[in-house]
Amino acid sequence: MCEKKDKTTMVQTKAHIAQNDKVGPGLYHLVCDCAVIAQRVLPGQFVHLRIPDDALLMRRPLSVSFAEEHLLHIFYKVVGKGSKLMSTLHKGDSVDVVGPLGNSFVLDYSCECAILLGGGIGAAPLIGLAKSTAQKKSAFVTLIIGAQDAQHHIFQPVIGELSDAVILATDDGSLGVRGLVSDVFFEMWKTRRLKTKKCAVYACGPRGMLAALHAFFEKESPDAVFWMSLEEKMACGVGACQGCVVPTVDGYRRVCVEGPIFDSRHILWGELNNNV
Amino acid sequence: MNVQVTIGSLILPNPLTVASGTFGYGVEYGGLINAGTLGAIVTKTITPVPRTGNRPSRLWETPSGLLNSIGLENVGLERFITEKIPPLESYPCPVIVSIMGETEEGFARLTERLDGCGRVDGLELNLSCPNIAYHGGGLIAQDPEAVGAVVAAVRKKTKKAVIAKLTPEVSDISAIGRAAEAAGADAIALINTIKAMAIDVETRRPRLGNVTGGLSGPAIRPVAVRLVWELFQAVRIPIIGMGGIATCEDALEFIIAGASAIAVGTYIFVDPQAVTAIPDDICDYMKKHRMKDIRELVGSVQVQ
Ligand SMILES: Cc1cc2nc3c(=O)[nH]c(=O)nc-3n(C[C@H](O)[C@H](O)[C@H](O)COP(=O)(O)OP(=O)(O)OC[C@H]3O[C@@H](n4cnc5c(N)ncnc54)[C@H](O)[C@@H]3O)c2cc1C
Ligand SMILES: Cc1cc2nc3c(=O)[nH]c(=O)nc-3n(C[C@H](O)[C@H](O)[C@H](O)COP(=O)(O)O)c2cc1C
Ligand code: FES
Repeated sequence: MCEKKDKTTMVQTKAHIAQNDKVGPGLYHLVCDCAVIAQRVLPGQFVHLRIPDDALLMRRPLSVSFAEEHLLHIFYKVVGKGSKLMSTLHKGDSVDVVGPLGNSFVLDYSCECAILLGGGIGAAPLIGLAKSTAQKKSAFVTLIIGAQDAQHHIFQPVIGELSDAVILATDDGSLGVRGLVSDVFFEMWKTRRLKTKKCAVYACGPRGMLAALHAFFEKESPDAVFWMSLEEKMACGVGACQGCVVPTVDGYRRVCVEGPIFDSRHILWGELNNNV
Repeated sequence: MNVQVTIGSLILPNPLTVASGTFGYGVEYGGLINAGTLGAIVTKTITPVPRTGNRPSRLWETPSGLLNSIGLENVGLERFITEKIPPLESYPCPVIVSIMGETEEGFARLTERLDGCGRVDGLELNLSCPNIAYHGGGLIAQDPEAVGAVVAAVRKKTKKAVIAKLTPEVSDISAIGRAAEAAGADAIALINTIKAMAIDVETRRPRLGNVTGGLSGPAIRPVAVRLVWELFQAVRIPIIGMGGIATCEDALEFIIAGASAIAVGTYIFVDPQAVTAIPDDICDYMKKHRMKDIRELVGSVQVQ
């Protein structure tokens, strides 16, 4: 399930950087001191961060992995100019953020189990989702996190009390199970006979991974609930420009407002652009 | 100190407006923008029937600029009236509605319907649409005859403020501006975006799903300032200048070139808070330069 947030709760504010550490190859853990957003952000929501550089105009959308009191935890990958500049920020610098934005993941407790699938940096928002359930019903959730190799597995230090519920996978087998997140999941689907259970699946990761999962559900279990987080380039981040749309059965929908969490059955996969 | 701006029958409390297409239907920014600080808002261009817009990707950032190809996605006239106007009822500043009708009749029909809506304080005519009727090819905003005909058709249907929005892609902005003025426009807004393109060299595919798009943001500002200055010498009606305005200094540049009001578009995406400071900063500038009325500044550039 996903939930709409009241728009009046979003704010634009300065946040001090409490930490911006390199945690893997091109991978960073950013912690911003930002109580106003930390107190109201829900799992799956994002913030729009201004890169402190005049030449880079647009804000960059980043998922909040999880919030801890007044701190926002974000994990990002250096992919271009903006993220490269972000990696040069230091503790004590301040950044301008707008948030919280977008809808959020809401776990369906009427299900027997919830499976969270995170590919690469995409696992970030699922950490917060898993943490939000930890106190409630730990056996209920399984989180599968995949990365290309052991070095790219960056989330262990923040998993903490969730560790029993987490399965790690690597493409090369250097840590945890060998294989893609989707393959590990397909295997689990068979061995745990998930088809016979009422389970909900939540995913975030590369488009290829999401597409493979969607194709699987379409064939295996058309009624299964599969929520996933999508990305598109953004300008306003608040629903004003119609720039970030994805094709759905109801027409184009904005990732920044109606998303980023979508029901996979609503997306027109054939028309989805792969340019992101 | 007087910073009011008069546009036809409409009085803006200050010269700061927001550019069509960057401020949605006026409510999306919620608490991020205090609408009480704005001189007016301009809503996303609406068309007689809904439009789904262009295929994604619709955005690409370029040096100090933004390339977009939204394709005028909008809810259409009827849904605009039933769904988008009511939330604007208690809006603290004038509401200007941007319309595009393809033909004179289309523009006239939009005007007729919106003229009856109390909360619509003015109309901005987005003339960057294909010029079907006048066989001139190109856009309506590139053909003085077509501009005159559309403005006249709208003028007949309303006493509300009518603003003609022009494209920078013309060889003589004066001729287009004069045509709009002669046909009864109360003001001219410019510039709309500049047609542009970007290519991914790895895949050799265009960055935008629609291949080309419109360039906005600080990258286009000097082009816009030049056009405002040229137009100021050709018309007597007020000009609403826009194109890459980010700061008070940028706004002043347009006003000194000849704009009576200004609009911020792309920069609202960047820093909504900073944009709302522009009117106060203009007042500070006027105080410093001992000016009592913003009209002393309009078109005051010292060319000699
Ligand atoms: C809702 C949402 C949440 C996100 N959360 C995270 C996160 O938690 N961690 C993380 O590392 N990344 C996240 N992203 C992606 C992140 O926004 C982009 O990687 C970033 O904007 C790239 O900026 P850049 O200047 O480094 O790259 P650019 O130089 O702008 O581009 C480099 C590459 O990144 C792609 N890109 C650019 N902007 C975006 C964008 N807005 N969305 C997707 N791809 C983009 C481009 O297509 C290009 O291939 C998220 C995106 C969205 C929409
Ligand atoms: C995303 C986006 C959508 C736009 N949509 C419209 C529109 O619907 N109608 C219109 O007249 N202008 C539209 N414009 C143009 C702006 O109103 C403005 O003329 C132009 O962007 C220049 O100003 P700026 O550099 O401050 O953005 C749009 C611009 C952007 C960036
Ligand atoms: S980024 Fe503007 S509508 Fe989503």
